[in-house]
Amino acid sequence: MTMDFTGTYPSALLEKYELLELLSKKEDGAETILARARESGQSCIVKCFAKDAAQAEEGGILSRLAYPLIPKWRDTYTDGTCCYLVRDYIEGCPLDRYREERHPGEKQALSIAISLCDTLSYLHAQQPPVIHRDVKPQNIIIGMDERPYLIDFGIAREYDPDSRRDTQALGTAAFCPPEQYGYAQTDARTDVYALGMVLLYMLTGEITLPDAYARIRKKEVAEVVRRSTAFAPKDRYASAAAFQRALLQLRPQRRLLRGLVIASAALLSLTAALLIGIRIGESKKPAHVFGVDDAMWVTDADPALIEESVAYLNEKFGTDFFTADGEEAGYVTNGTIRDMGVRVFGLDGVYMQNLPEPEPRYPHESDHSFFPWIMEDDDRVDKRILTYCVVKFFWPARVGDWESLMGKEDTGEYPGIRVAEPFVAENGIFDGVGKHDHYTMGELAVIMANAAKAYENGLR
Amino acid sequence: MEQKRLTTGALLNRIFASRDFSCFVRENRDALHVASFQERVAAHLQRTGMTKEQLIAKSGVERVYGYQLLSGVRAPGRDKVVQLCIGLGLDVEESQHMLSSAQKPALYPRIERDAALLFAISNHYDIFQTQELLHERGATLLGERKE
Repeated sequence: MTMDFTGTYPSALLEKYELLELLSKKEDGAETILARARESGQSCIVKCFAKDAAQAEEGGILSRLAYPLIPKWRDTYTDGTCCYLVRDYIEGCPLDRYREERHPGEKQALSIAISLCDTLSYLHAQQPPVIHRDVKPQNIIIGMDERPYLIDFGIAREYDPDSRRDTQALGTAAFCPPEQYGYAQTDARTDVYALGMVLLYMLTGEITLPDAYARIRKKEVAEVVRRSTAFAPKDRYASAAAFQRALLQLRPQRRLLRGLVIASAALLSLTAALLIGIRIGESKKPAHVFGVDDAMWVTDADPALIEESVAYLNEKFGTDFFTADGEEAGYVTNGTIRDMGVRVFGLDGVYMQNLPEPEPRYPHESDHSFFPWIMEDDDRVDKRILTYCVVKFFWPARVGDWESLMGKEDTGEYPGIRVAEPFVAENGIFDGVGKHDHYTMGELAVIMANAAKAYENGLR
Repeated sequence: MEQKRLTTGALLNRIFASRDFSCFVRENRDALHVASFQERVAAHLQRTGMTKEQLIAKSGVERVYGYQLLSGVRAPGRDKVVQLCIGLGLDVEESQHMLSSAQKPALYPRIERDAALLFAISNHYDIFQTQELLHERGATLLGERKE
C-alpha cells in the first residue's frame, strides 16, 4: 500500500524530534529520516510507513529488545494511515561500504561474524524467538567502536511453532535462504544462512553460489561457510551459537592454543609409549581427544556422564544449548557463559554484557552487569569465574529473586568468589570433570547438571 | 566552450538517434561524465570568477577546514555542502545536484528545516540571513551539527 501523505508529520513527533535529512524514500512511500532529539541532541532515525505495511511490526519487536548491538527503540507515533518509528541512530559505516573501503581480512571477517552470532543468539532466545529475516551487509553497521550493529527489523518476525510457512515472503534475494520464498516458515536457521552469506561476501566479495565458495582461501573456512549456507535448513548449523562455535575454531589464536594442546597430548603419548615399550607410531588418539589436525581439545569427563548431563539440562531448561563434546565443541569461553545466561536462564542481554561499575567493591555488587569485570568473549573462562557464574546463575533458586544479590557486602551470605569456591566444593559441583583451569562444553554440562541437582536436592 | 547541460530525456533521445555508440560517447562525453563534488565547485568558481577564499568567507565555513573540503582532503558533511551552495549563490536545482555529487540526501520540502533552506536558497539569502531564518524557526543552524 502506498502511503498517503496529505499533511505534516505528527506534532508530538516534531515537538520531541527535529527532522534533519531524508535518507531514503521507497516506492511505496516509506521514508527513513535522520533526526535529532531536541532535549538530548542525540541522533535518531525516524522511519515512516503505512500502518498495514509489512514493516509496521518493527516498532513492536524493537521495543521489546535491549541489546548493545541493536539500536534502541525510542518512540512510536501514528497519524491517520501512517506509522512513525523512532530509534537510535547508529553512527558508522554499512558493511558493504566498509568492505569496499577498508578491505577487512579473514580475521576481522570472522570476528564480525562471531559477534553477529551473539546478536542473533540473543534474538532467537527471546520468547517467542525473533527471526530477523533480513541479515545483509546493508543492515549491518560497523560502528565507531568497530563493532557490528544489526539494524532494520522491518521484516523481522516472531517465530510461531504452529505455523507452517511465513505469510509474507520478503527479504533481500541474495541473502535469503530458500525457505524464505514462502514454502516453509523461517526460523533461527534462516538467519544463520543469511549470516553465512554475509561472511561469504566479506571473505570473497561474491555471493553467487556455488562459485563463491571456491574463492575462500582456506578449506576449513570454506567448509564452515558451506554448512551455514546449506540449501536445506536441516543441513545447516542448528543455531547461531553452533555456528559461532564453528567460527571460533577457525581463529588463528585458537589454532595455536590447540596446537599446544595437541603437542602436549602427543608428548604425553610418546612418554607413555616409551615407558611401557610400545613402539612409536602405534599409539592411538586418546578416547577423550576431539577435533581434527591442529584444532583439538581434551576432556576428562566420562562420555556417558556428559551425555546424561546434556539430556537432563536440555530437558530441564527446554533448550538445545548444552552439547556433548564432539568435533564441533570446544573449550568454554566467556562468550559461551554470556550466551548461556541469555538462552538458558533468560537473563537480559544487556545485563550479560560488559558494563562494569567503576572499581566495584564486591564481585556481585554491580547492578548493571552479571560480570563486574572486563571480559573478552573469546577468552576461555577460567575455573574461578566459572565457579562464580555457576553459583550466581542458580542463586535465585535459593533466594527467589535477583535483587538480593545487588548492593550487598560479601558477608558470606551472598556468592562472592570467596563464598562460591567452598560452596561448590561442599556440594560436589565440579565432581566428574577433573581439576583444570578450563573446561570443555561437555564438562560444562556435567558441572551445570551437578549444580542443578544440588539445588533441587537441597544444598549443603 | 562549456557544453549546455543536457536533460536526461535529451540524452536518451540522442542515444536512440545515434548509429554508432563510440561516436555518441565522443560527442557527449561532458554530459556522460558524473562530476565529483570538488569538480563541480571548481567549475562554479571558474564560471563566477570567485576565489576559494571568497567562497569560504561567504559560506561561513572555518577557513582551514574550508580549504580541506575544496581540495578533497576532507569529505564534506551535508550542512557544509549546503553552506557552500549558499556561498556560491546556486539555485535550488544546482544545489540539489551539488548534494547528489557529494552523495548527500537532497533537500526535502516535507522536512521543515530543509524547507527553510530551500526557501533561503531560492531567495538568494546569504549565509547570515539563512542562519537567522533557521534560528527563527528553532532549527539547528548550519554547521551546528557534528557531521
